[in-house]
Amino acid sequence: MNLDRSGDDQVLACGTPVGSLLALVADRAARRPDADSSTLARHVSGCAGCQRRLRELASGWEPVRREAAREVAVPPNLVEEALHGLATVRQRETSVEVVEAGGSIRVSRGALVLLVRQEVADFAAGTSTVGRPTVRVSADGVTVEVAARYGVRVPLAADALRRHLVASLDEHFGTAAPAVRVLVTDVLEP
Amino acid sequence: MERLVGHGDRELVEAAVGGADGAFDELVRRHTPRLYRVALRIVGDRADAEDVVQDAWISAWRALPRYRGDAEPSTWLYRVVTNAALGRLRRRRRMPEQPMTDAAAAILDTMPAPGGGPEAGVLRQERGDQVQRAIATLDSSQRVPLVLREFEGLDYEEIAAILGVGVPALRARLHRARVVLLGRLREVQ
Ligand SMILES: [Zn+2]
Repeated sequence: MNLDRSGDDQVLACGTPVGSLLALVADRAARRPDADSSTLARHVSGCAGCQRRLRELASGWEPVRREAAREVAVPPNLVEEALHGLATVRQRETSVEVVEAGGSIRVSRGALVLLVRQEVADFAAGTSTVGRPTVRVSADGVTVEVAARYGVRVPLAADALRRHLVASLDEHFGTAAPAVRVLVTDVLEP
Repeated sequence: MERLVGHGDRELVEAAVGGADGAFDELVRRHTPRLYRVALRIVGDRADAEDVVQDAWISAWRALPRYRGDAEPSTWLYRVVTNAALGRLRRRRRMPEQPMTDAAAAILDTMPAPGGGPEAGVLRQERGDQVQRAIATLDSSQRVPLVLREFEGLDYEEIAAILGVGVPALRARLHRARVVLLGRLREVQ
């Protein structure tokens, strides 16, 4: 019997495709019976030809089932290596280079996000116009998304917040300060 | 730092989208073993599988801004690692042919102690070796769904979502993959 080339087109005398029987075997081995297989399973339970072929297929599939049942050992340092590689890429791709008179420094995205969040909180405490921000840092600069309080004139509040942040970042980073964008994405119900 | 262990994957991904690196790191801790298993079954080589896992996490992190929540995090991660593994296979094909040296050893050196004495162990090792080698001969369009189904035990709908194909097309691929795999195993027995 050569299943490799033509076997999937083979049909038993009762009309059952051999491929469907093999699916039944594999699905049972995977312990995840497929919905479509129940009709076939009912047929097989009353068909000697199918049962014979099913046994052959099951014994052929046994090495796969055993292989699938075995635990694969994960290299012990893999998680740490993944975290380390990720940290390196993060640092390279999301820190902001700030050039100052004495040279340049890299400010991490995390530090920048914290700084901007704090500045938004200070602004919100002073004006009661906006809520908690979502802060994103990319190569293009800082994007702040906030919800404005109900009744606040959104363009004015957004512009005031933007100017507050620009002033604060200028103070920290001088001419190298990253660009700031403020988006009002939601309204806080009163 | 906030304890993230009790959070669901979806919460972690959403926090990571919002810039919480710690949440993404927790996903890495949680899912690296699974990603490695899939990568190893697909690329068949331990060192390559480790590289695939690394590539996958970096791709996932870069893709975070585009994560829209329409896929389950696990589906998304399977898709990312599968793509990384396929990328590795494509690059390897362009390089001089490398034998699948490490594959069986990687998988087999973790086998539980055989119950039937040393001979049974050797026999089992050879069989496992044969399965892995037979899988390595499958075309990647057959190998990937086979790994996700037979080794990861995912259901058809999830595999179809990971591969971006319909369920009938997936069935056809899996069907072909199983028949070919069984044929290859018979050739060596
Ligand atoms: Zn029949």
